[in-house]
Amino acid sequence: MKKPSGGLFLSASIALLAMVLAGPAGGQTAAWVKAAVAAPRYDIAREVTIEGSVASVVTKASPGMLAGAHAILTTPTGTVDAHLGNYAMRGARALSLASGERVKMVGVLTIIKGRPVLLVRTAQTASGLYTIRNARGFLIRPASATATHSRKAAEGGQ
Amino acid sequence: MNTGRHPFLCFALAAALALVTVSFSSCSRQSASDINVQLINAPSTLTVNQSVNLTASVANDSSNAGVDWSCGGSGNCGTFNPVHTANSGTTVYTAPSSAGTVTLTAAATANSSVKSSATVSIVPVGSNSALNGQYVFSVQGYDSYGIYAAAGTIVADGNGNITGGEQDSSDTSVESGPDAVTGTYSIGPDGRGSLTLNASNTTLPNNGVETFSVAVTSTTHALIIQFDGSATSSGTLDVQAASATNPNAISGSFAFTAQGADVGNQVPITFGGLALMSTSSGSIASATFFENDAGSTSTSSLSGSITTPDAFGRGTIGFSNGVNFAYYAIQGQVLRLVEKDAPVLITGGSMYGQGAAGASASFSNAALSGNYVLSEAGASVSGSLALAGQFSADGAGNLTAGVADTNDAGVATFGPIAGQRVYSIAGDGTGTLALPGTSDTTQDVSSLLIFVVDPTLNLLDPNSTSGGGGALVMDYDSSAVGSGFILPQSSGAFQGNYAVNLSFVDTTGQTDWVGQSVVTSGGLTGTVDVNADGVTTAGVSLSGTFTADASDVGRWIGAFTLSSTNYSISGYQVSGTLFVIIDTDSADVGNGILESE
Repeated sequence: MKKPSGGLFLSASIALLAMVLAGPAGGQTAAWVKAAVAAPRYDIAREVTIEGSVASVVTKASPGMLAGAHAILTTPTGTVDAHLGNYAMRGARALSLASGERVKMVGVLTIIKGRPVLLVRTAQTASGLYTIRNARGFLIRPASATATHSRKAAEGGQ
Repeated sequence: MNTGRHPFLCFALAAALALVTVSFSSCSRQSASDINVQLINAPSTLTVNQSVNLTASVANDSSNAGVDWSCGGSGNCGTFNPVHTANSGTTVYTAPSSAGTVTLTAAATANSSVKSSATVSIVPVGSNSALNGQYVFSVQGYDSYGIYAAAGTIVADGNGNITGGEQDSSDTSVESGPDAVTGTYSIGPDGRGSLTLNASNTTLPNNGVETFSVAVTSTTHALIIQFDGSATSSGTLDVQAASATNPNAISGSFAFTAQGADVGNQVPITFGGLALMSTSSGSIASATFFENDAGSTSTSSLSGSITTPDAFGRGTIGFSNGVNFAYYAIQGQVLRLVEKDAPVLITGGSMYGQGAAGASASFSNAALSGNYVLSEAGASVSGSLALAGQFSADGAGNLTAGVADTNDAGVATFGPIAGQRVYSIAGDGTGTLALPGTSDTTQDVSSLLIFVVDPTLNLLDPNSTSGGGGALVMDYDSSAVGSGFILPQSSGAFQGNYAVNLSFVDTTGQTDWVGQSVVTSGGLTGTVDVNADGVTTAGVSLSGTFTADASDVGRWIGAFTLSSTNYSISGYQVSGTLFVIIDTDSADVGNGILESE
């Protein structure tokens, strides 16, 4: 049966996995793999919501910053570096942020090179809700919206 | 022939002028008839820009003055470094950049008329005749619809024509194949060239016309990138052996990895594991299937099916969990994979036989014993990820030495990876390798799975008879997804002609380079074709500098300059013919290889 989706197919992330596996080599003694999977750095249970205004948008990160776009937010408690990644601000459905714009961002705060960074999962702006990461913190890379040819049309709109 | 001064004449002159304090330096020279020079190890053929160590011995030279090196020929005849050596010392001769015939000469410094010469043919690195036969290509990257993977077999006639073949490709819009292909190609004297395939499927991007840039390393292997506006990708081209179409040869226990995207959730995914397959029976009797879907890790014990290869070495593989691949065999024990589950899953990868130890499930920790280079590429919760390193394994689960460079979304880390009880390999060749937090500042990478392969198989150049062994690598972290390899490490001179291929994720998306470079002492110059997210630029100048890391022998630190853009680079020497490269910049994340031509 064709796999319906990776998300439905998979088990949840685990902290310690001990597996006894049947060896593929003709029923030989069972092989074992004991993989200690580190605790996820992006733990949705540790998500925070930060509201503020956009002080600036950094599209090319400086050394020591995570690569990709950042929004520097001014909040009542100080400045927050919000990491948006490589994909959120590209393509036809790109997230657009203006200086001074009010935003609400949800993500996990982490420390990169000694500085706090918000790994943004969602960004709520006046124009809508943008999903930037999945629930495990991985950047979502949408299928390109910049296609220059119409293959669907060539296939009869399949 | 020796033509020195006559010894009797010298004696007579000296005797006649014995009371005059005149120095007759020429008379102090030893008889030319006594001195003898022998150029020991000159090859008969070198490729353009190729470097070789030369040695000459001088006999009967009481002054022990050594050897002077020179060359001749039409135009530039090459260079020596140094141009003077001691008796039996070694000089590095670098051939000129154009083909022709040169004469290399070692002359006695004590008497330049005493010499030994050799004639050497300087031949091009490449020409259209470099590709002759059936070749398997495999690429992964991004097209205008997102991630894609493709593989196929092409038939090159040695004269610039692709007379046949077939391919499979998958992206988020179309899963296609097998599609018949024809085409053309052109390989230049420096080994760079172009390959254009016309797939018989006009629904593919660019109506099925695919253009690749090529850097040939030999008549059996090339590095390629897609070089048209429809996609950017990196991959390989390998000659196909007769065993690729022999059902009985595609049999046994195989290790595999495949990497790409869970398109439904728009996140990265990696598969890996082992499969006991037999094309003659059409079955996968058992398989251990690992999966890391954006940090969600799982394992399954599966079965499946495999079809016999067609005339182009193509068949299909279906695992009982619903994951399906088309395969193209390079030889019976090396398969390139394209997943056939689009638009839900799109991955590409490889399978490698595990040899006798795989068949008998007799692997152990001893499968990693000695020095190795490690490489991985993928993504973490921070962004794009690349890792390269080296380690010494004691065969008992301990890394007695080791370091790694990691670029995790532009945050570069260099640190030790040695430790006690950090790897473990089961009888079937499945194992784990734990990396310490010091290897990645962001601490996304720590748990790797390894799948040991047949020690006779070269993972990156499957037709090479040397450099075999190692393992496939799969990241099994909750914060990182990726795949790579472990290769046995050996020493060797880092000089001569190298094909270069790098793949970056940067502010424009994915950028791929392929081309040719000449490595001399501490430096590199070359020319590459660049595809920056579909924007192609041919013939871009590449230069670079390298310094050996004295503390970690085998690691090199340096920089590439492409046009006017600088890239910080660390390199790990797999052998004299292969270097694994990692880009350690903050603005981009990349990895690649330098492979000798």
